[in-house]
Amino acid sequence: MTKKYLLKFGGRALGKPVLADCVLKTKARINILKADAEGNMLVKIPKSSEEKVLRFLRDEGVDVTEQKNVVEYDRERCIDCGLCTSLCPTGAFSLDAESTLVYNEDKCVLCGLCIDACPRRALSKPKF
Amino acid sequence: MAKTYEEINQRIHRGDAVILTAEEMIEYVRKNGVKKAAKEIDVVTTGTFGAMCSSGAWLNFGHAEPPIKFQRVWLNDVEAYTGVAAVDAYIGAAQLSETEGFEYGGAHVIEDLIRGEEVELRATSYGTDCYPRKKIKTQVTLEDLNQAWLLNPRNSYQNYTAATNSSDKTIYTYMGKLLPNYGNVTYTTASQLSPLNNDPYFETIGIGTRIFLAGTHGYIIGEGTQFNTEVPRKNGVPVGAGATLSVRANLKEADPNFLKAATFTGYGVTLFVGLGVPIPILNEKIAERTAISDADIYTHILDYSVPSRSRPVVKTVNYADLRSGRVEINGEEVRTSSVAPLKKAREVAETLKKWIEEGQFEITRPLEAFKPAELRPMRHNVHYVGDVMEKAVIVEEDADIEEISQLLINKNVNHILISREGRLEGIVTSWDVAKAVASGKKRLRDFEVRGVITAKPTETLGIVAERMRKNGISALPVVDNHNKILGIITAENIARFIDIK
Repeated sequence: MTKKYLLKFGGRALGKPVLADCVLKTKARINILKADAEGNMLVKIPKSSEEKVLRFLRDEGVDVTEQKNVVEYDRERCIDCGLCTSLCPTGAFSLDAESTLVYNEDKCVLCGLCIDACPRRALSKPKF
Repeated sequence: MAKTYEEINQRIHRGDAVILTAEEMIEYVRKNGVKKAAKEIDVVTTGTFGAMCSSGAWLNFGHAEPPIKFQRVWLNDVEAYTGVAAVDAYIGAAQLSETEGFEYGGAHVIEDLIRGEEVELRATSYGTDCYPRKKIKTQVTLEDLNQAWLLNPRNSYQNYTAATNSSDKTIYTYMGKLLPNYGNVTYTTASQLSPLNNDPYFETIGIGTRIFLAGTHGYIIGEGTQFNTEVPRKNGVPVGAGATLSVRANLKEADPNFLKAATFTGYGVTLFVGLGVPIPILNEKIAERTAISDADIYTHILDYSVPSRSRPVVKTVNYADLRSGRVEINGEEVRTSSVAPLKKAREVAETLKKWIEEGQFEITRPLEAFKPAELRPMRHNVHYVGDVMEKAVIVEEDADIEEISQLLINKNVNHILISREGRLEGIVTSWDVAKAVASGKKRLRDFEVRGVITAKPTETLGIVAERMRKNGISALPVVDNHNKILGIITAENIARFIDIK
């Protein structure tokens, strides 16, 4: 499984094209899942270049933490309506052939679009 | 070869009746044809499991000592209707909690009751000679009640519309969360499994029909509210919301698996209800209709961002399209999802099939047929922009400030619309002109306002007044769907109109 990392750009990592330099140097195919105006970015880094990329980013002053948190799913409350499937931008939720809801946590980027859409309140933000 | 209700029931008792779900029937007819299906198949079971707000329960709590005549009553802070005899009350599924708002409501009270949980009963009264008590607070369970009837005025819509959102903001509706710019489409029927889609002319379904309701035996007690037989049909089934059912079951026998409370953010509380109707295959015509499949059932995708009871149709699609998870709107793929779980609808149809196969459930001939009806809108005064707007003062893009100033004075207006070949380009107000003069701007393009907020002639005055207030402006150009200028509506027009009324 490819790991997800939360990058926080601040301090000396600001004002430089850090990620572009990183990609050019390591040639890693970094996938940006989510980015916000506060300087946070959620990325997926291929396993083969993970070590190089993390070292480069940390050297440039980027705060890097592995992102394990995903939307929490309560199977007991779920009624398999699948309403969340058209809201999830990454396809983390889908209905299988039996129309049972399947949650692929690996795809969740914690955007939270699904949480207030669930009529059974089966989805929630992870507790830190 | 025709069959009778009695013959089918005899077979059910002997244990040799052949029962299929509506989905299995599609396959059967495809392989064996309608003639054979009509001969071999006795009953087709249908099922739906949808959010049905028009649901609730009549409860009788028994008398207190000394007795009280409820004037107002709450169950876990959710108010129930008690404008009837002393200790009867109707808890409506959509009623909101007075302390928890959207997160708890009548549907949750019903779910808690059937789960066997204690519910707080709180009631107040004015006190009478025969009912002296003025208040009471106690805990009750479903078992403590004398009667508890699930009694739903409108369930099991025969088809329904689908929803999308053309606006640039997320909207929250009873059709779920709709993302901006046609971000998704939601729909809410069991389509090919849905009871009234399988007997669209009510040849076997009517008042008195025994059904599956909330996991127990229930009955159809009449047409549902907003019953509508006048919707244009395709392959026999209305395109959009058609007929409905009014139903009853004993809540004490209900299965919590088939009755689930829910909250639609920004809308409110509702109850998911499992409902299934057995359709006796009396003849070939009935057999053929129960074999209808998703690809033959159509609905309109409506734009729910339009705050009107007549929302514009964005596209007409069939349920095979909707179930595929994607439909195309304006050349873009848009993801679809269902509000109503298909898996649970199947569970309803399967359970009903099992009951009949095991001889626990007889089919019934309706006591009375449904009567045709049309859906009327509410009788009240509605006023539209088109009735109140006035002629706009319009200039072309190349007008200069002198020309505009003269128009403002001569025509005695505060707003001038700017057009290019009759289409709206921008707007200037007397205030914009004053500012332009003060800062030495002469050319229109330097001070006109573009990206103007507009109104449509078919919008109601209330809606456009709210739009003016929200944006802090006093007039809106009125345009058609192609941005052609039709007029202007000002706060003054609206004020004068209200004054005349």
